[in-house]
Amino acid sequence: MTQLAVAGLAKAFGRHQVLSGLDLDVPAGSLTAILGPSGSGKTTLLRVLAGFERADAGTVRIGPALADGPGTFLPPERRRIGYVPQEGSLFPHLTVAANVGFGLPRRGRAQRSAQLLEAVGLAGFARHYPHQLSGGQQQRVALARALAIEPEIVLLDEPFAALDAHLRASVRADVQRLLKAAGTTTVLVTHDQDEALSTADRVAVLRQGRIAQCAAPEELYRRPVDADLAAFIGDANLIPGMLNGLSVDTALGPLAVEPANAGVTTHVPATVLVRPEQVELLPARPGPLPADVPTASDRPAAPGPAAAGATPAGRPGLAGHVTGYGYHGHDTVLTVQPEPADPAAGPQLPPLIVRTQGRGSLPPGSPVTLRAHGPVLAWPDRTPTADA
Amino acid sequence: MTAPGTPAPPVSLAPPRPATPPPGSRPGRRAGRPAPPRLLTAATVGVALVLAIPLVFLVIEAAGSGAGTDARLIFRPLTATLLWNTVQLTVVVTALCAVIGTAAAWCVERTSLPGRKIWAVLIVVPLAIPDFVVSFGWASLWSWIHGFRGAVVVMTLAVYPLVYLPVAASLRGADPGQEEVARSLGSGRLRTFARVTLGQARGAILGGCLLVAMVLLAEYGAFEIVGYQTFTTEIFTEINEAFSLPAACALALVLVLLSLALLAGEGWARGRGRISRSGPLAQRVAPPHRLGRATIPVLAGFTALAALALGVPVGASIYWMVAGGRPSLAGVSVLNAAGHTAAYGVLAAALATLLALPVALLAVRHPGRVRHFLERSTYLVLALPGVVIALALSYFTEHYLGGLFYQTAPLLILAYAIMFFPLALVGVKASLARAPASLDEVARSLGQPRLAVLARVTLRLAGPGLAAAFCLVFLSVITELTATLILIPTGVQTLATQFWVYETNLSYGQAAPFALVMIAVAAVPSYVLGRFFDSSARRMMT
Repeated sequence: MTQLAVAGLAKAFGRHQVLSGLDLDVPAGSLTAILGPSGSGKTTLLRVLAGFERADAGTVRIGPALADGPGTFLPPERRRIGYVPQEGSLFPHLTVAANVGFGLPRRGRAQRSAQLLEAVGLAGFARHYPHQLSGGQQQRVALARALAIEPEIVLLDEPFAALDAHLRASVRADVQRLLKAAGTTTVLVTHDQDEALSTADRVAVLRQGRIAQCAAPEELYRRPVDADLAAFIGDANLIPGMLNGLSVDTALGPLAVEPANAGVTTHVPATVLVRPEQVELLPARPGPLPADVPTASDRPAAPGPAAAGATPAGRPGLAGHVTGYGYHGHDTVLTVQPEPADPAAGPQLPPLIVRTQGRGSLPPGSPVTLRAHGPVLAWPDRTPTADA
Repeated sequence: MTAPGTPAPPVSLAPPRPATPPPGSRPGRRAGRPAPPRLLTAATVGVALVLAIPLVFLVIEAAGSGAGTDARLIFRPLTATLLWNTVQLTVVVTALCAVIGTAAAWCVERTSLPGRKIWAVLIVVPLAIPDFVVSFGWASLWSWIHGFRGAVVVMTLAVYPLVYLPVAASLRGADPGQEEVARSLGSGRLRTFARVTLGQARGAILGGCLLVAMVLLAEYGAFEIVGYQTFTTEIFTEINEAFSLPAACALALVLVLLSLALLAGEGWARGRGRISRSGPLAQRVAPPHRLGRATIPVLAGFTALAALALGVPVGASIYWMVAGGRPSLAGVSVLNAAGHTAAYGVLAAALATLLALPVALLAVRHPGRVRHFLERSTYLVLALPGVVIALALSYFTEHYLGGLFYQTAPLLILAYAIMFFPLALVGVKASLARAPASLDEVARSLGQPRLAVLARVTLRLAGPGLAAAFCLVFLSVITELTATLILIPTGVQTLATQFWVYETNLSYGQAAPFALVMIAVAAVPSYVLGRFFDSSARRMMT
């Protein structure tokens, strides 16, 4: 069941068009993240949903009711939408308990707010004032306050952005648990893709005033609808290739194309997405291997004028040298500048990002050979970029 | 692209094109508040109209007497003398107040001055003493307090708190980090003070100076006592002694133009610099500058200031009361007058604060060019000295209401409320800034309608500031003399008018008790004000 349905939403401030024809459906009980860079209109969208701003065009439906549309505008106090602003915005003149009980009728207010404080783990803080709480505690009080009115929908505006990194994960987990327990439909706005991908059931990417794609996190990472989105979600190598039905020819050799993505067309220039973890690192020359760099074989890669030589496994590889090296514990991220290929073959490739499990150190300048594993995504060029 | 935790790779193959306009401004936060509620706009327009009454009738009166008459009354040697007297006094006293007020505020707020809390009160209390009482205190003791010199001494000591108060508040709210950064960039103590500290307080200093200059343009009693002739004293004389309304009116026009020029100048000067504060409002209190060897001289300065501004007027009043030796008669009439004064004060302060509320709400919550203009227009009242307002209101009641409300309490209270509206507005606006709009929004999303939000959130948070605005107006009403003399209901005396009657009869002994009661009655709100500015900012913001 759809709890929140937004259709054709537009909002401009002066000449600045912030939202232009935005569609979004949020299923009941889900946690949907709106992901977008700062200035993309996330907050504006949230404010329109909450009723603090009125849309210029389009409709907002909460459950069956029209909240914002031609001739209809439900003021915020009648939307039953819990709102947790970025800074928490606790009422500084009220105690924690009074903050939580703010939206409740007088009768039963005390019990209910005690209950909620218990739930967010702040039972002992009822008589404190907001300024006596830490940032994480304030955020949890703000959430309890929003949940107190038993809202259909809770809107979270970058709720964890103001928190220290080490607090963020735990507060985020708490919030997630509380929202699930309450069974509330949640819309979370964030510019932090890690947060969106790890917290939400569904992630909607906001771009140019519209939702570019709304999908489950894994889906979004594995099947972005276009190259821009691929680059936006996670690290991406976008290289040119030639699409031939179920495979694509690239500087990294022929690669299989995701069945869903494969076109029937042949010999069409395309942009190919190769995720860093799809690239394998091989030693470039005979000799001792750099420690722990995973290799398929110790045989040297065939040198040659063409970058796409034959690798040990018999598959083509790409020669290059390391230009950047970042060790992250769980994995290592390198950038590799492909060696100048045959000058006639076309423009040189930009550096490629490679993620490996290896622990060894590869100083910049180390020669390596790259090999990619499909299936990959490829988008034929010239096709106008799909806009949601 | 990558979130904190997974550091971004050094190079990325295809740098993501920003899908949206570059970050920077957060659209929606500022630009597009929803349209203000109609009720609020209507109320503001209503207030603006009420405030426009005096100016409108001044113009009508002037037009009635004809351009030729007006020109003849304006272009005469007397006007030049009055202009010179008014301008030179305004310049000198304003400059002195700016220096004294700012220096005192800096010492109290930012240095290790011993007894800062006590000084914070003692420095403000002179505001509670009516200017004409200060004048009376000095002039009754020393005959050299006369003319220009006398006016400068008396007025500076009477009004410098008008600079001190806003500057102290702004220094307290200023970001100490900016000073520290300036120091770290190699700027010395003095340079930092001049470039950063004064820069932070610039708006407050200008605002204070404007208030001082406005008071000087409007003052009557103090100048009458020291025998210094300004536009206002001359207008009063024309009304009350020469009964020449056209002459009063013509001079009033010049006075109003002078005030308008002042307002415009202040707006221009203020518009060139913006005070900004980076980061959240969380208050970090700057460590006080150590005065070191300067402690004794600074302490001496503060003591002298308190003695001159507070000691002399209070001392003189006590001296005359004792020397006059006739306390028996005064008792009942003092009580009676005090009752009237307090009642007028409370009602006028409540009315002014109430009138200021919609205007301030609109200005703070729904900024926009038209609404800004509407708000600024209410400041025009500042350009109208009490004597002009009283004049216009009498004219209004006589010609349009058949003298219905003339010299009645409601008209007097309305006159006070109009007169001190700008004071109330400043206070109310400042107080509303403490109640951010985001809290209102949260409250509404929690199911509270607008009016409930106003009552439960906005006004609660603004409460201390509203009280301060109320007190400011109350204080001003108690010490108001000029308009009161013209509009007071027949047979009624306030503390100020009764004092004035005795003072002009040179019955210093009988006048003195009234002066003391006025000081005492006004000192309470003054103390509250001092406390408010001293503590509330800190309490509300931590």
